[in-house]
Amino acid sequence: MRKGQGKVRSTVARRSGEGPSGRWGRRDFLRASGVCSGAALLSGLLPTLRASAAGPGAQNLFIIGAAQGTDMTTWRPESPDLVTDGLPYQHEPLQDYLQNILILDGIDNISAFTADSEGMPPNGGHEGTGALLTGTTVRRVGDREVYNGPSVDEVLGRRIEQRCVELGETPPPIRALRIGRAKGIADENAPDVPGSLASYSSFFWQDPLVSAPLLWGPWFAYEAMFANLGVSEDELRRLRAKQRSVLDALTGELGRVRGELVVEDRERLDAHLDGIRDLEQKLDNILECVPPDIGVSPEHIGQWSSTHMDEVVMATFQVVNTAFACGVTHVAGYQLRRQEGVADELLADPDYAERYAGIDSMDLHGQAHSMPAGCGSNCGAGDDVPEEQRALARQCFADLWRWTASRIKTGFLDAVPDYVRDNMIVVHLSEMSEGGTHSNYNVPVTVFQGDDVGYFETGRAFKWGGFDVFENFRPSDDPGQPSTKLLVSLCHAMGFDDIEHVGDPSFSTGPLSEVMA
Amino acid sequence: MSALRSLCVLSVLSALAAGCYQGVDGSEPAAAGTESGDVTAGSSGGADTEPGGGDDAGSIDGCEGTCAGEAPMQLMRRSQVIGVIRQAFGAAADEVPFNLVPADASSGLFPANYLPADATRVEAYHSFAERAAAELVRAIGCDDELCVEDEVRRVLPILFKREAIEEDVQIYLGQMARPQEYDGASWTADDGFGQVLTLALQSPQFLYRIEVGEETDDPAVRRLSGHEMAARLALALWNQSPSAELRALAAEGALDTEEGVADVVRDMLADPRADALAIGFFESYLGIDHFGEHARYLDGAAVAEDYPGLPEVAADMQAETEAFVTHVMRSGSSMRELFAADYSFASEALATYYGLPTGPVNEEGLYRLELSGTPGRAGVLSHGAVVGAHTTIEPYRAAHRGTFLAKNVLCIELPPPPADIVIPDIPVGLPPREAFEQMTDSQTCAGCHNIINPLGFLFENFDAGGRYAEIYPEFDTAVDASGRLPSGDDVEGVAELGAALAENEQAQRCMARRLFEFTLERTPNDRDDAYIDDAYERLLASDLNLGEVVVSLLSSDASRLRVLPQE
Repeated sequence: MRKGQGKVRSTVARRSGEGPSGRWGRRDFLRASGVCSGAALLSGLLPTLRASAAGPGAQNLFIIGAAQGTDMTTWRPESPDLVTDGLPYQHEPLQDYLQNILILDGIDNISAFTADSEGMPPNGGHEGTGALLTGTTVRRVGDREVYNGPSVDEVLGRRIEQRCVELGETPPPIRALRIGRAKGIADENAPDVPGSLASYSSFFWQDPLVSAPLLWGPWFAYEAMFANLGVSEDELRRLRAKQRSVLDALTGELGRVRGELVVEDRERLDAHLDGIRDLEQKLDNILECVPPDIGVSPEHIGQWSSTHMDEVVMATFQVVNTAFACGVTHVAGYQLRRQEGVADELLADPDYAERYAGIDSMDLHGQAHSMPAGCGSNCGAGDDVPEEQRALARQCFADLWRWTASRIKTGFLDAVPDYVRDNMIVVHLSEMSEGGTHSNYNVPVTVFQGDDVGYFETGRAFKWGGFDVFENFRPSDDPGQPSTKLLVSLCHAMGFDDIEHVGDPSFSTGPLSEVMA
Repeated sequence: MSALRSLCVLSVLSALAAGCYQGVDGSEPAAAGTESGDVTAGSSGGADTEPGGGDDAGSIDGCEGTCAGEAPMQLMRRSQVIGVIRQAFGAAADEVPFNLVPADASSGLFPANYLPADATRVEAYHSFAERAAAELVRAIGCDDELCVEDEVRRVLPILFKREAIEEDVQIYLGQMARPQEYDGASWTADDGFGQVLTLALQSPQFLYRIEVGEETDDPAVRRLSGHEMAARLALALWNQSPSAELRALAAEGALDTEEGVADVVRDMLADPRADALAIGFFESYLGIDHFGEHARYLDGAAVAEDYPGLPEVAADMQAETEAFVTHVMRSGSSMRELFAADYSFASEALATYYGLPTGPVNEEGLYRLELSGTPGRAGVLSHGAVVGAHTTIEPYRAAHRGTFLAKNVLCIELPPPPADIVIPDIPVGLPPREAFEQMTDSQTCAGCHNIINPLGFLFENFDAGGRYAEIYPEFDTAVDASGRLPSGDDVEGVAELGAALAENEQAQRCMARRLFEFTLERTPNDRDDAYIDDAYERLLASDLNLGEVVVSLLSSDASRLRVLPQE
């Protein structure tokens, strides 16, 4: 018989007042598992786009920023056709994902050029870090240089939240998950130490003049994501058992119905069944929101031990993997520690140790300033470095990029579930091209795009402008492409194609139309 | 006004980009040279072919096999998902979060789901099913398994749009069992019922319109069974699953012949549930399905200042049009009435806003407005929602209104504009019509605007707020609402436009095409033209009865036979 009590108010209505700053339980994670991402909305409302070259949009974006550039001579592709001609040395670890890779050779970190801060060169060098993802120029406020953000990760995170609210959906618990260390060597535990690089060395900005708080490494990121979950593991497993029971029955029903259909209809039901299987995998992964063993203790993170960099990087990728898979966020950023820190790990790697026996990682920055033979006004710190040592330093920077690419491959691309990998974009970039010139022209940008995104034309490289690796400035009659266009392209690739500009629109508006599929 | 302008620029640009320019490549709009007024949207224009008749997959001139276009299996429309759930669960469905039902996917005029469900859509259905089931379980309030079983046996035939199969019932009731993981944990009848409903609300038998059909002489053609036909009719006309009565008729064979289907469709159209057809079709046909978005920006202070009282009556405007079209369809379904009626229905606030006297109150609590003798107002095209939905910034209003009329009502396809088109600045100090004429008088623009402008200017007496005026208040000059139909007929104002459209062959043929698209949920191809021609002839023979167009289409082979998609 039916109970006599009155109706219960909708939980949706009760939940509507909660936002990303509220406390989240595991049930919320189950409910916020990505349904209202911008990409999800786009493909829901405009699936005709899926059939077109434009693609339906990515569901997740991961930006990996590696400060201080690389050696562009072994980074640059020789041919636009990567599939036929292969990847350059520094990208070789990504060979298994050749069809998914796009190399952008000719992006100018344009907002770094117009630094209006006193004493800053027009080609901003380190100032490019904050400029790159915000599309804004540096400003001096008191004794600090700051940016007129927000950066593209923040822009996208807000738009995803807004879309969720419009749909009456629960926004993802974390707007944008940003991990890493923005500070210079001297001030990692004391951000106000005079002379540090802190004020302009963060890629991620929350608001104008406010850099985004970075979670100092994977352990803290993990704590931020999962520490306050209020549902016990037993209860979570029971919830999952209910879902599995329904989806198993649904799979069986699809099979029975399929048998009754004419052949022409079966493909449609097969596509539906594929969707159910994706959902199964996703829900299984939500179960894995139970804390994974990330293998890095907080002590290691707190002391920022260079001897654990490999472990730290891999654990960070695992946390971002989990965050995407669980729908905790759709946007993540990882700021690798300045190359000196990563270099320690590289130099300790048996594959590289012998080659770099004469390199001191703590001096690498200084040595980098002297890299080019005819180094310009930014050079100086390493002028007395022997040529042999300079060449070694360049090779070291090249291997640092290659090392990072290999970790991106094994620690992230190989590790994420198929449904995450197929629908995400990963960008690996730096704010300057070469440490030696500190040039913000022609910064290295490598893009990975999942199989189902379809926004970028992948498997190839694009080259713009007459940039010479050893020149600090471009010929004015052969310009590159402004980085601000790349930011808009990322927004469009995530399904927000109404975004006309990120940062200062006077630099550019619209996307990098040439690289669209 | 400035705030309104800034908010509307994008929509103006997109409207202009919808196809207003004779390109530099010399492309012409599809109907630019068709002074005879032929429908151009995919129509072969041939009225001399006869659709296949009888109960077998017949052949007709110009076609191999049956003449109907291909019909892939489709997901139900969003409105149908909601309608069937409401039908199944009654008042308990008031608790269902219907805003979570995925939106329809069609890029055409009417909502439809032509493409297979992708992973995102499947996940969205899953999420909706979980939440809807939780709310329904609470609202229904079963506290033992017997109650649950009764409910399952009652709702499955409705959700699946056919008689329940015992195997299905048993599988669904199997969901009531406590999972192993719940040993030692609480597991109630509500938990089991929630499992059953979560499964049912994302079942392919619920979400899809499954039409297996019966074999015919042509292996590429299937004939719908009586029960499949019942489901098709109920969804198309009522947004519902077949009623028990309709299922009984199907079982008796009443839906096995063209005549039988026609009789049933006529009965169904006379039922109040057919309001779903009237509202669903005309919302898209009139382009007011986005009126809510329009109304949102009408909330702005600048608009409230420019159009005093408009934000308060925006919802009433939508209600006016819904009440009017349902009334027209219930009372003779006349296309002439639709476009030229000398009455409407409005709330007291809307009547006051319009400045019109009110008559008696109808069942919905709306006043009947007598429009005879009222300057400029007649038929649905003069409704505030229709005029307002196709108006943003005042100087561009003719572009929106003309494009709407050309596309939706006259089935004129306009080519996309050249990519490098530069939108001219709005001339300063000119009334809207004069300013827009000046902006579009270049050779580049004239190709499309020779069609769009004479249609759009017919609405010139109405501002963005749906108010009628014979003088531009800001300029103190008389409004010129003269224009021309593509047939060459000169008309002035919306009242004359409505009367002319009702008798206009292009508009009549277009109406038959639009009703095909909506009721059969697919875009007609050349092979379907004969059925649309038949429907048009039926419209003429029935003194412009739109219901007879629906009868013709739903009882035709285009509806009763299913041509399987070819590789």
